Amino acid sequence: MMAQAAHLIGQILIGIGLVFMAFGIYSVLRFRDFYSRVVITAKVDTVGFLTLIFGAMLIEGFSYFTLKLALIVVFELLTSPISTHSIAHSAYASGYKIRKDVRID
Amino acid sequence: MRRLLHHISMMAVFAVVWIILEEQFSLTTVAVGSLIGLLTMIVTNRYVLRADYESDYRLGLWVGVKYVVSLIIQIYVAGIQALIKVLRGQVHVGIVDVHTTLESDFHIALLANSITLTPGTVTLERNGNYLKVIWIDCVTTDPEVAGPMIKQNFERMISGGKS
Repeated sequence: MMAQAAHLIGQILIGIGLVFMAFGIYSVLRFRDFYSRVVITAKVDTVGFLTLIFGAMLIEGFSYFTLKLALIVVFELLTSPISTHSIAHSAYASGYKIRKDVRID
Repeated sequence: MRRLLHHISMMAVFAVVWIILEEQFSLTTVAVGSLIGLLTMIVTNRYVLRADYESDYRLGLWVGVKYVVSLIIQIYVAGIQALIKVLRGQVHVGIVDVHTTLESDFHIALLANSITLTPGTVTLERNGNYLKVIWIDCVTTDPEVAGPMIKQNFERMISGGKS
């Protein structure tokens, strides 16, 4: 019974993570300004990935597989902001300006 | 003494990682894991950093655990705020300078990472003790006012609650 409940909750969490990622893609299409795209997508993608991993952990239960997933979470926390930072930094270094009128489509 | 303690705790961390990757807990894996950890530290000290490992990566174990937990909570807050921003479509982007009192490069890198992960901000550039930050709802461009709003309590947490 407990295992089934954990399984169900895990699948729901994976679904929520996928929804977050879909919103990340939608935000790229919605914003016109480069910087707001970078800021929003960085957040939403990280949240989606973490939720997905937590769901997989719940489904698997306590085992070595779960500990490996925990290691993946730590490396994600270290590397995800670095990739975002390098994209934003390259845009800034090549002279992108902030648009004054951020129009929304 | 302090140096030895640091080495032993780093070795324990490496051994735990090794056990997780090997998927079995026995005397052999513990011994091999600690040995490989020691070897890694020696090689890193001598050939990669050309300096001391513990002076560059000074972060207590307990501080690290607390940091990761509070970071995950902040990431969820950030994600939900970003969702609301996407749905409403209102942004007001600005670039702010933030001053930090942290000194070592490693700590500043950690602070920049956590600024990137927390609500509405991405670190652009580092200039000595100043970080350039994009802020998605830029209320003010004054570094004195914007600093505490962006850094929250991460600076204090990374430095181990001393300052």
